[in-house]
Amino acid sequence: MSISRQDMFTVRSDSTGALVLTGELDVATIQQLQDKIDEIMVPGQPIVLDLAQLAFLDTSAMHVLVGTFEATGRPVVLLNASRSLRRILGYMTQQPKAWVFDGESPS
Amino acid sequence: MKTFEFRLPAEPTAAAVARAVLEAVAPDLPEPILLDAKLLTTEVVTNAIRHARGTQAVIVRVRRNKLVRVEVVDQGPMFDPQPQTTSTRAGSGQGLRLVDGVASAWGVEPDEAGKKVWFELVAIGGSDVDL
Repeated sequence: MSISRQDMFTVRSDSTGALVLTGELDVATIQQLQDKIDEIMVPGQPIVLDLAQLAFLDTSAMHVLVGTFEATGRPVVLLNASRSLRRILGYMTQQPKAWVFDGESPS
Repeated sequence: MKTFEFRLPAEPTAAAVARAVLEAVAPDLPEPILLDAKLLTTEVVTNAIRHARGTQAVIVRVRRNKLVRVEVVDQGPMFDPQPQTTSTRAGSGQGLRLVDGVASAWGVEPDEAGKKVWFELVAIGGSDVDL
C-alpha cells in the first residue's frame, strides 16, 4: 500500500480568509499547512482553520498550532472540528490557550 | 488470538499507511478506541522513523482480544522510556507523553530486530471474540 502526500492532505483559503483543511495531518503533510500559514500570517491577526473536512491530526499539528499562536499572539480559531479531532486535541494540554473552537473565548 | 503483522518502509507516509491498516484489521473496535489506536500508532511510527537511526523499515504488530496491543519494531537503539514533561517543543518526547497519557500500558523492550515500543488500550464495549 502506498499513499501520496497530495492525496492525503490539501489546504486552501476560502473567501473569508480561513484555511480549509482536507484529509489527514501528520509529519508527511504538516509542512504544507505550515507553508500556507507562513504565507498569510499577520502578527496580531488570528489564523482561522476550517476543519470540517479534516479526518486526523497528530502532535505535529499541535506544534504548528502552538507556533502559530506564539507568532500571531492570538489563539488559532478552529472551526467545525469533529468529535474525533476534539478528542485528540483534548489530549494535547501543554499549551491550552494556543487554540479555541468555533471562536469561543479562551478559558 | 490472531496477530496481524505488517512491514512499513521508513517513509514519511508510513504512519498514514499504518492508520489505514489498523482501520482495516480492527473495524469493529469502538470508534474512540480505534481513533486512540491510530493516534498512538502514528506517534510511535513517526518516532521510529525520525529518531531510530538506521531504521529502513518498521514492523507493526496488532493483537486483539479485550485489549488492543500494538507493537512497533525498529532497528534503532533502546531508550529510557521516560517521556519528556517539561518541553512543549517538537521531539519524540511529545509523542511518548501522549502515549503515556492515553494508553492503558506501554513500554520499550528489546526485539530481535532492534527494539519495540508497544502500547495497549482497553477495547471497552468491543467484542470479546478474537479476530
